[in-house]
Amino acid sequence: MKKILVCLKQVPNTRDVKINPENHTLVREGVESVLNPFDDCALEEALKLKKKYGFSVTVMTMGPPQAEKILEYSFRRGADEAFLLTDRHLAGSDTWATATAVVGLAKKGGYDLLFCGQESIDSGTGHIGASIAEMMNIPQVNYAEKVLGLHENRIRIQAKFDKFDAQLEVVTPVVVSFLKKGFEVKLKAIDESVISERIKRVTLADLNLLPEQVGLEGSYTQVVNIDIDERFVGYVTVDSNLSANERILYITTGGITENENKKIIRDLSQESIEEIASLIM
Amino acid sequence: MSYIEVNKTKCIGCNKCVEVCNYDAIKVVNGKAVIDYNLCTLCGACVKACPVDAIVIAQVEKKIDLSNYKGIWVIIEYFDGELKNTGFQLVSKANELARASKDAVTAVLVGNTEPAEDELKKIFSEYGVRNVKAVYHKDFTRLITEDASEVLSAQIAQDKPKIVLFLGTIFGRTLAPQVATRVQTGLTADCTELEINERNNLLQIRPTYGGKVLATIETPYSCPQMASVRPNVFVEEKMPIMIEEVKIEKVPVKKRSFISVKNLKKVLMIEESDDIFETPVEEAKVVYCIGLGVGSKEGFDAVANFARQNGAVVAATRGVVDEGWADISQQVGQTGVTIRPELYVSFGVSGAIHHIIGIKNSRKIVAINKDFRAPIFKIADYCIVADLFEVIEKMKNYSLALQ
Ligand SMILES: Cc1cc2nc3c(=O)[nH]c(=O)nc-3n(C[C@H](O)[C@H](O)[C@H](O)COP(=O)(O)OP(=O)(O)OC[C@H]3O[C@@H](n4cnc5c(N)ncnc54)[C@H](O)[C@@H]3O)c2cc1C
Repeated sequence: MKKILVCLKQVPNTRDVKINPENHTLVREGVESVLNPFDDCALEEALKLKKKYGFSVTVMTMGPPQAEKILEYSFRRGADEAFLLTDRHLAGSDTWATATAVVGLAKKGGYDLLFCGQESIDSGTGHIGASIAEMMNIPQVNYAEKVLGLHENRIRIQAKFDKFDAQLEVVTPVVVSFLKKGFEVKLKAIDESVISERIKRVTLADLNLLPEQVGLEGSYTQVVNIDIDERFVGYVTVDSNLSANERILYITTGGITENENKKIIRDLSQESIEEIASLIM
Repeated sequence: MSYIEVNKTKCIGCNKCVEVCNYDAIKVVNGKAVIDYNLCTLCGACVKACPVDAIVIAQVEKKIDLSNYKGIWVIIEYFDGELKNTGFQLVSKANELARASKDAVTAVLVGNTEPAEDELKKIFSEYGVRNVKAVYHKDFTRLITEDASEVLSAQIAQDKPKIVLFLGTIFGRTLAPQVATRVQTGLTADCTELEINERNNLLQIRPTYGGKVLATIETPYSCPQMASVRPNVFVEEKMPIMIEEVKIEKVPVKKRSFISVKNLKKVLMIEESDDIFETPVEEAKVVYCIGLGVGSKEGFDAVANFARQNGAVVAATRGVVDEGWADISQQVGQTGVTIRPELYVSFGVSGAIHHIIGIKNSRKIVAINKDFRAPIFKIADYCIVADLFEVIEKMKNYSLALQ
């Protein structure tokens, strides 16, 4: 029986993420969090393989204790085992340090397939899959859409490549990063009373990793500054034809530098229609 | 920095490492493997090949003396005889950085094409690039970046460039993190600005959380400092004076330990997808961009049909791609493509900063949104405050009346 590890990330479900002004890292606590939708698709593909071939599906996430929420969700989806890698030294990890930690856990389990999302919706670097694969010296498939089939240690994957669809055959172990797509989420009825106990909590020490290999210290890239994007800040010029209410709203929505020479069309009279047609058709 | 070691007790002198080394950096002497540290590029091929795990690469010290690292490399795809022309946007940016950091720019062509010297000399002289390196093998393909990663990483370890820039194409976005991981350095994805700071380091600037925030990222303790940039973020600029001497260095690849040779990964089939519009969004002159304001797949299809009738290419916001109405290749913005068409028309797009980043350089922006507060109206040249379906309906009637 083959073993699949699905790497999950909890991401903020809001654009109001606060920044810790002292160390310029994100304050994620207190913000509503969800499973990164790309990772959900990776989990879905893993569960399909479980159904078809009886493979085991292990999920893991690296994050604060609250991240167990997405692991509990994974159990409801049908995952067999879940690891929560949580350690204060992990804070501030860049993609290198994150991949280091994930590889530390992945190596313990001897997985045949390592699935992850192509990118996360909050930072969207798309680096993790490639980094994990290179660290483990195994092949990787990016922009995967689905698993087509499996024969012994060879897996066939359909992937997107610019305007092409490609089918690749890769020898396991392999890292596959999945694109996002719509699917119907099916949840299983499981014993909720023990769900939290089923999560295996691990720390760096359990993975034989040193604090300096991860977190800010273990990261090659460092955030040196967080700024308001100057190009999008500025005085808001208000259209004097607007009503007082509308003007107030315009000012309070502020933000982006106003285009000074714009033309506003607020009705669809014959004249306007002619103008729009000459613009866009 | 890392070091590589052979555990003499474990080593059985089987020669497997010698066979896979691309750099003749390992030999078996008196029945045990010995590494020539001057030649070794730490590519790790021997580590993987060793049947008894006798070779290890370990990380001992992260801080290194960065003064040995010089020059700015721009990685450009060179497949099937075609030089990826968006690469010149990055070359132009590199020229600007090089003036600040007093470095030289090297264009590094990666692909399956044997360099056509005269042609390359002519092109690169116009962009002021004196050094061109072509790393190639006829079997390289865009879909198996692992092979290119192995060779490029070794080349980087050998030549020690200070900065390496990748174009964020699908190929570049896979290759860059592979290379950064192999050479053990930092990488920042999707930068929208690059600068040199007072310590002569690369500042990598990218929009992040909350949209209006820009993060400035540095790679302070390792080299090269790497960044990827989406096509069309920077503007290509030829130099006022052509340079005379362009040196083309050919680096043909001795292929021995690659993933593709070992048959670990192969391409079975590649075909043009049918669910995609003919012209890629980033190349289109006229783009109609569809936002969540269309409300449903049916609404999306209605606008997409209208676009096709008018010869426009359909783009979409991330919200629409998330819904599964449009393909990810149609997504415009920070995590999609950046476009600069002659005409951009939006239908029910709110204009979140992540989206605006990708469209703000369009020549003419026409926005249709029923909410006059929609941020897209701030940057638009023409703001049509109306229901998008009503606009389309009226447009159709108008053109019918003309016939
Ligand atoms: C890290 C990160 C990266 C991102 N990258 C991207 C990216 O690359 N590209 C991108 O697009 N987004 C990106 N986003 C998402 C972005 O922040 C917005 O959520 C998204 O662009 C909103 O899409 P929208 O304009 O289609 O939808 P909405 O914001 O929901 O806007 C819909 C608009 O339609 C209007 N409308 C509704 N009905 C009608 C009607 N009948 N007629 C006319 N108008 C109507 C509404 O007034 C509204 O303004 C990113 C977000 C994050 C956090």
